[in-house]
Amino acid sequence: MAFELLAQTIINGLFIGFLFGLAGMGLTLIFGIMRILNFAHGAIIMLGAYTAFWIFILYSINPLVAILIGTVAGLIFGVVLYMILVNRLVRAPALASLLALFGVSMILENSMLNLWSPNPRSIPVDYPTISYGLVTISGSRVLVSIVAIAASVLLLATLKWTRFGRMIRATVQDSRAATLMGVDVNKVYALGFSIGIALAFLAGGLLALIYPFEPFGGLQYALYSFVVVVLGTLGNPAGCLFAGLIIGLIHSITGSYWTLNMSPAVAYLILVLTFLLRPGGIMAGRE
Amino acid sequence: MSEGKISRRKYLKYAGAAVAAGAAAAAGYGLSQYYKPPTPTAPTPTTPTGVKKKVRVGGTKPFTGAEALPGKSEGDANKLWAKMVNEAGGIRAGDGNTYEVELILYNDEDRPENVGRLYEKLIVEDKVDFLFGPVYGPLGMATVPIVEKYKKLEVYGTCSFNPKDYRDWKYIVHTITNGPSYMEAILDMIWERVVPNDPEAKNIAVTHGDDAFRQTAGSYGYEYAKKKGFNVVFYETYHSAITDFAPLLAKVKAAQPTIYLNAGVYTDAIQIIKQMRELDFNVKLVWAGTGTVFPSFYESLGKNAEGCITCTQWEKGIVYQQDYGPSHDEFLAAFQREYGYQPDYHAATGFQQGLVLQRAMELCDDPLNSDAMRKVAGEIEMTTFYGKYKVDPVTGWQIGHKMGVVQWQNGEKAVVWPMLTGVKDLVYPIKKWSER
Amino acid sequence: MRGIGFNSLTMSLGFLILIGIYGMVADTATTSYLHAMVELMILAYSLNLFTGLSGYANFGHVVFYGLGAYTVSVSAVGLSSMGMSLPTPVYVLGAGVFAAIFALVIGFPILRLRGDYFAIATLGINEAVRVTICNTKELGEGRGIYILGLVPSYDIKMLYIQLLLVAFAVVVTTHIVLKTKLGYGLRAIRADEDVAEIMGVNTSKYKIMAYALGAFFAGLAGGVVTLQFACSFPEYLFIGRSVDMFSAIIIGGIGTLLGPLIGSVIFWIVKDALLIQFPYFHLIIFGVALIVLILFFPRGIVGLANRVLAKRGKVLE
Repeated sequence: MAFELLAQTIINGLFIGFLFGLAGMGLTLIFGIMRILNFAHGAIIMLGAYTAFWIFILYSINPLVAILIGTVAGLIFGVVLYMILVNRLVRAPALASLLALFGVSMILENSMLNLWSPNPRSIPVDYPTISYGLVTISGSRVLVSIVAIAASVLLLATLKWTRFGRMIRATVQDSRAATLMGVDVNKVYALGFSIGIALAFLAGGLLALIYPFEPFGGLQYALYSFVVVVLGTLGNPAGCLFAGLIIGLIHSITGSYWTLNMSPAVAYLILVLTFLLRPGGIMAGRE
Repeated sequence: MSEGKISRRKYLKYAGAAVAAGAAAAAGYGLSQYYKPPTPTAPTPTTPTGVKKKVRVGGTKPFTGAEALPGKSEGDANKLWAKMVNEAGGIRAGDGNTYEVELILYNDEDRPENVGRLYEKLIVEDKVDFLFGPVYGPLGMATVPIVEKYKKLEVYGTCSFNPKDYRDWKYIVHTITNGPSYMEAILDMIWERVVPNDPEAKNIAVTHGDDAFRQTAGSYGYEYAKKKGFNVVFYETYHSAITDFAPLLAKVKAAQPTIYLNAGVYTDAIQIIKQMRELDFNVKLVWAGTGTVFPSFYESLGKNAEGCITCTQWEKGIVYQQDYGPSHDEFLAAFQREYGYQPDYHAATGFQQGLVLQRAMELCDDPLNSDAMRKVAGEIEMTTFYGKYKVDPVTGWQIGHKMGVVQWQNGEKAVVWPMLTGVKDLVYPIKKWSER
Repeated sequence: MRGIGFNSLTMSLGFLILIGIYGMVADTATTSYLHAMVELMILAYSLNLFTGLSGYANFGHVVFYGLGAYTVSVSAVGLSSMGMSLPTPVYVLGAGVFAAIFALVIGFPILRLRGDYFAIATLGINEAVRVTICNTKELGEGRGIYILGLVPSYDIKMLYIQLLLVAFAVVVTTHIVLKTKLGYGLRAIRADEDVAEIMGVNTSKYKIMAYALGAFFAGLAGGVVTLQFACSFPEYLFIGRSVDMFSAIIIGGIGTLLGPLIGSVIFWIVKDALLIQFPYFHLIIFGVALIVLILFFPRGIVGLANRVLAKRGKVLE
């Protein structure tokens, strides 16, 4: 019994961890490239969830396809948002840019509320569950984790091996030097930001498969994402995925062995402790 | 930078900003016109019994923010009540005059600083005679010092709180069964309808969230269950904003309850059923939270929603032997016609708020005086489409209203409690997740 | 530059006196309106003391306001169980002191963080405190603590006077901080913390002093609010409130003496009008306005005024 509970706890933790990691990755990418902390992240995740939901409902296609279309829509949304607003924020004072993005979040949340009502929604699909003894693995969570891993690997590979990836990494290290070396920083910013938003849309679509969502539901995900990106060192996508798994496990273990209502508090406590021991996050100093 | 001269780029920037702001404001204004609540209808012919007067009723509801769902429902029903009263010619009050209702509702965003400011505005500036309470329990508590100071009768709607917090207030009456009694209907129903046939049904697990409502409902329900003779095999709370219940459910499953009851609200109800299915955690009956009553619960869960039960303040299909106000069908039809969506229990509660005020005015010979009105409201006994209304004359605590229990059966909510005419058979035990 | 600081201080205090008198003679609805505005003003000033001067983005400032609120209700309940009670100013002062002590305790670890790490840590602390309150029986869990009858009954004018006194104190404190070593040190930190450290500025001491000072005033505001509603509940720690204060100081002009005042007045008037006029859409309109304002006037109204005044050789603080 005790062993089964432990096994179930760890499996649950890892599954939710992949989703946390993916949700954080968009945030950390944008921060790494542009030094902007996207305070509209939670609202954008919810927008992603709604986009996937509506594509699924209106065209009744495979939910995974709907989520992928939603991700592409996220890319376009990212480009538009960049052109309208974000390109002006890059050089604005840091506090002002935080607040402007919070304004974006207000606009998005209240637009979703007025357009689609405050009713919670969720994508009504069922995937079979796999049971082994008392340990049960949910099909939808396995699917979500596979997509999350695939997206992460794709992103990391792109950053490492493509020309575009090298441009991004150069910009992350020193945008001025990158400009001198002939990198079109503006293009990198636009694309990097859009990819970050697309990742948030993807995370939103995937969580719509597992959890219900509502216009104002983004706050909790945003807070967890912040914890994840900071724990995994700001601007480091691989660290972010790793930190997501850690937070997922903490969440699950606290819930199983103590009480679920303290798990956010424990997550924040771990965050502050990490700061004390390694002020730059767990991946600081590597890479 | 050259002074006194604006560069072209800058000019364009400013012009663009002005255009954007103007467009946004215009769009917002246009939309708000479109959304504007139906204003009270024009005065109707005066009745021969007396002079036509006005009664102003005010309140705040969260139209935006995390509590927008109950806020909008309750606010819509408040407006519907005012409209129906005015269309019928107004309230024929106990002093012989007829009163038209003027309803003033503001958005409090579920934030305390807005409630403080807006209640003062309602009472002093808008000069309302009576108040409808906000939606969220603690915010309702925050209004108490103000209404007590200005001595205004306040009829509470969905907002509920703990009886032990009662502090000698005089101007408040409740319409709903308060949080502490929330779970009683379900436990009574199980005790009467299930336990005689299946003694194992005494083994229940109880969990609940940690915010004001869920905490009160769950912890009092837990006490009530123990008192009633249930064997509570598992009891725990969780953080209300949590989205992942797998860790909690793994523990509940390990405790092997026959019936699982969770005092939750909207999203956690959906999540718990989804995740019970994912963990293949089977019970003979489950209550996942009050959110079970919403159509979106069934939409989200499909056949997994089948058999889920919930208690509710009101539900379409619970038809009482009523002695006051519009009938069950009339309310349902009027609401649907006005707003195009089905009323939930928040909406019904909002309408009941109005009915309480209306009845009290009809019986009171000084119908704009809060002291006299409060006395009458404390003595009324009536049954409306919403059920019974009777409050403790001193505390204003609702003691007459009893909750119902519904179960999702073939995509419809079937009323399984109280045992009135037309009550449906309870499906028990519910199907295993794997057999659906 | 002679006499310039005097101008800004006089203007701020003069404005406070004006709205103070107006609030006292007007009807209580107006008083309540001004009360909420002054409350936001105090919060904006208290945030400005630390964030405005040092440039550290503190998104969890509302935690001190919430703790102040809880200090009052917990001590009122605790004393009444022993059959005692205190005059209300003592409760409010206690709220400020407790908030400041809490700031000193958490300040040591989190003030070592820089930039966005600090912003996220403050958010985390706010949430951690809120969750802890929601799970502590003695703190009323999600229901809150109710103290009607233990404190003087609701009287908005009395509350308004108390709040005005706090507002006076915070304005004068800001003025003093701006003129003393503490203020120069903090501004040096904002310019470049490493350089400031090399130049011999005791950065960690200055940071924690300003942090605790800001917390003290936010705690006072929270204390007065608990007296107003005769209860404290977890919604006091809502993150949206932190954003309100932030918007106020950025609209007004960050790190200045007049900025928080101008910002919170504009913020409150605009937001309240929109809330009443467009109950469903007010935040969409407000969001657009906020973005436009930030894009075109990143230094706030005071920054804008200074660009105009600079031609005449004057400057606002």
